[in-house]
Amino acid sequence: MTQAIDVTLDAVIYVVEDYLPARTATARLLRAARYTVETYGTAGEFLAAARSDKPGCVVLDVRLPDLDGLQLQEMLSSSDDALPIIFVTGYGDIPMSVRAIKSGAADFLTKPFRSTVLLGAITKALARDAENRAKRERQRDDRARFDRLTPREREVFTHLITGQLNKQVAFDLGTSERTIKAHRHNVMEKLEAESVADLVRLGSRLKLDPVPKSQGAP
Amino acid sequence: MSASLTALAILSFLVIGPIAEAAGLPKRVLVLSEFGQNEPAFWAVERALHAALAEHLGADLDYRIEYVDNIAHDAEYRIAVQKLVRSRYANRPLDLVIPFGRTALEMVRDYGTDTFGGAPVVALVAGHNGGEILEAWPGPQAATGILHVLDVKGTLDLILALQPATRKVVLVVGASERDARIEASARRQLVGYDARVAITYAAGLPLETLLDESARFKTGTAILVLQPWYDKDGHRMVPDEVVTRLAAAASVPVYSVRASQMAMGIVGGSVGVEPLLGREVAEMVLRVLEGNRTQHVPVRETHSIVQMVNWHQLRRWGLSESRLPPGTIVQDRDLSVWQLYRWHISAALLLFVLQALLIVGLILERRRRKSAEREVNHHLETAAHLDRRATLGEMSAALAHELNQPLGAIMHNAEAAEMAIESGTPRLDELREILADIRQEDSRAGEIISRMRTLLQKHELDARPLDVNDLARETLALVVPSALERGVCIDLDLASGLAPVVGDRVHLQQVLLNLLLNGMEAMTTVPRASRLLIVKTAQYDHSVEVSVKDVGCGIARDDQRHIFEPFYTTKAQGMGVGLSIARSIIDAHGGRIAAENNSDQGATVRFTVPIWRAMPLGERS
Repeated sequence: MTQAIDVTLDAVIYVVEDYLPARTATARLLRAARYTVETYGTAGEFLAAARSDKPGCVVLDVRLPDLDGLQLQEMLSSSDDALPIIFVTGYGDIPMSVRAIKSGAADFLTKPFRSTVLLGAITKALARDAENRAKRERQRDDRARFDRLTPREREVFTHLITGQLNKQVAFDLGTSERTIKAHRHNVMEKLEAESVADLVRLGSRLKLDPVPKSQGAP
Repeated sequence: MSASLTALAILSFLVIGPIAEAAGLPKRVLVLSEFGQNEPAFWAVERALHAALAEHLGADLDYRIEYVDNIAHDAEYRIAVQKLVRSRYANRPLDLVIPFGRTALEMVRDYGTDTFGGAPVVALVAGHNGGEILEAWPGPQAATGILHVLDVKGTLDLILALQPATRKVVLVVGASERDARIEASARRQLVGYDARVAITYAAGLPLETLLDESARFKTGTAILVLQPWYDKDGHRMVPDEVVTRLAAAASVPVYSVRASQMAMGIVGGSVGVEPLLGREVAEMVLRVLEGNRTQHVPVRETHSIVQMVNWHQLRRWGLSESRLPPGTIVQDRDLSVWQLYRWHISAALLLFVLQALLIVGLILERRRRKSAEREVNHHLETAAHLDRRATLGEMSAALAHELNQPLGAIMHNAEAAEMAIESGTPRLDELREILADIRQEDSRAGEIISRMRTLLQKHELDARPLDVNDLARETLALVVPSALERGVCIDLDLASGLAPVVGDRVHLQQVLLNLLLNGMEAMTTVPRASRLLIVKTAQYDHSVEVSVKDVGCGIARDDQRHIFEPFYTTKAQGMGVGLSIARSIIDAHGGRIAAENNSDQGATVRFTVPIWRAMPLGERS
């Protein structure tokens, strides 16, 4: 836990809760756990607030005066940089918790819960956030490397990740095996790959469709 | 006069009977009376005579009266009277002459037909002498009459009956010739009484002497006044005056023989009743006028002598009424309350008894009703309790949420405090703040629990003064979680300065709770954003009204009549007891409950509870 706190010291926990005493208590607890905490009484306030891009998560009361917690979750998850959401509720409503988890909630806590439960959920959520952030970072990185390829090199790339040999690629693209070899070298270098396996992984991360086997050039 | 005398008068009237209307001139009747202004008793006789004649003859009566002096018997006076009568009645003969008194009778006899014509004579005269004159009537005038003897014997009998210890009787008589006749009559009547009682004749004693002596009479003495006319000094004595003053001055009871003197302070006597005498004479006069020959209308003694006593005098002298001879008339009696108001009293007593019976009946009825009421209340309490439990069961999820809120806050606050302490550098002000919050949340949780527990407990109807606005706010706190869950907005529109009502907090809360939950239920088909419940309080003269207005589906026309009936429900999962119990509760409070559809949308249910007017609290239970 200490490690998590250390890692995420600059993480922000957004507490959205309409019941003031609960909001205060939760904020107090999280601050004692050395998190930065921002509190909101309604979904509207939370949506309107300008947030930094710091790592963090949302502790969200399911029932809010203006907007259902699940509706808010929907709105948040549509954005690219969605924060993990921990739902809290006054009573264990199983269908609702299932729905929440299915739509990607980080956790679903029923009041009253121990601080360890909340802090544990927050640790997990922050890890998830970190993971999401790393993934997004890698995606941005992959995309940047991919963007360096020339159109011809991209063509070669899409053929290579299908596991075709140079000869087959040359045949498909109607060029010499030697030319393909040179392209392949450039692709490997630009994409900072050491093997075809690296290329395949990158392709899957970039969600590029491999060219179907034994097909002519597009 | 008493009823008995009236009866006698009526009897004599019946004896007289109606007389045939005589044709021609009215009957001219002349009363020749020797009793003037000093004998008021005879005015009563004369008035009664005139009245009786007038009654029967009406316009056929020509009634005349002349007074003559009964003392001055000189020739000059006689001639003057003769002249007067002749001159007055010369134009028309008399039909009948009525001499009052012995002197008058003698005048009629002596003046004869040349003065009075041949008119028949009906006389009223005293004692045996009068009888002798009539017996020896010379004619050709026919003469008859009523003999009136002062009943000394009867009076003495009465005295001895009333005062058995009487040793001495003083008879007050005058000293004139006429008085001598009265005394002689008395002596005749009292022959043989000397053995029993000493009889003294205070003959002709002047009034002042009489008064002096009578004041010193010892017990066991009685005074009997016998119409004294003149004292021995020749002074005129007025009998009524003698009687009145003697009765006032004497140390012993005074009696007399005239009914007209009954109210003058005498105990009583065997008295001649003047109005009856008058009627007796009238009766005889009418018989003669009818054409009966006087021979067939014999002279007789009066029937108008009655033993009579004055009730007040009996009491004054301490004489017992029980000693009175049978038939004695007791005059001037202060009737006892019972005698006066026998029927009123009987009726009042009867009413009293009936009322008492009614009261007993009502008390029993009331007791029965009270016990029935208690039973009903008991059932109501049980039913209401079950209904509350069911209602709270429905609300339990929302209430659990309501309870988890403060519990969660408490836990987090406590743990935050722990963490702060563990950090080694706790901020005291923050810890204090945390502890204050914990306490506040704890009491909040406590309130929720106690509200629920109050409603869950079985509870006896217990009416106390309470504020309806407080009640509304408390009840609202209970349903807020349910309202949040259902997305219902509740507006409180509370009138300020409401008078306290008399009611049971728990049961009234239950009624309002029921109405609020029903209102929410009715709005399930309404979009969340427009679900609105308005709770309003208002004060009237004798009650406070609470209304709950929703914008829901309203009440179907068919349901309107039945919604307050038990087991009538429009809900899929309802028992149909909530509103019926609400009505029972409001009934038990002496209030009213009613539901109606709003003009635009939804329905309003309103109930009233009577205002508390510092009446005894026990009144209701």
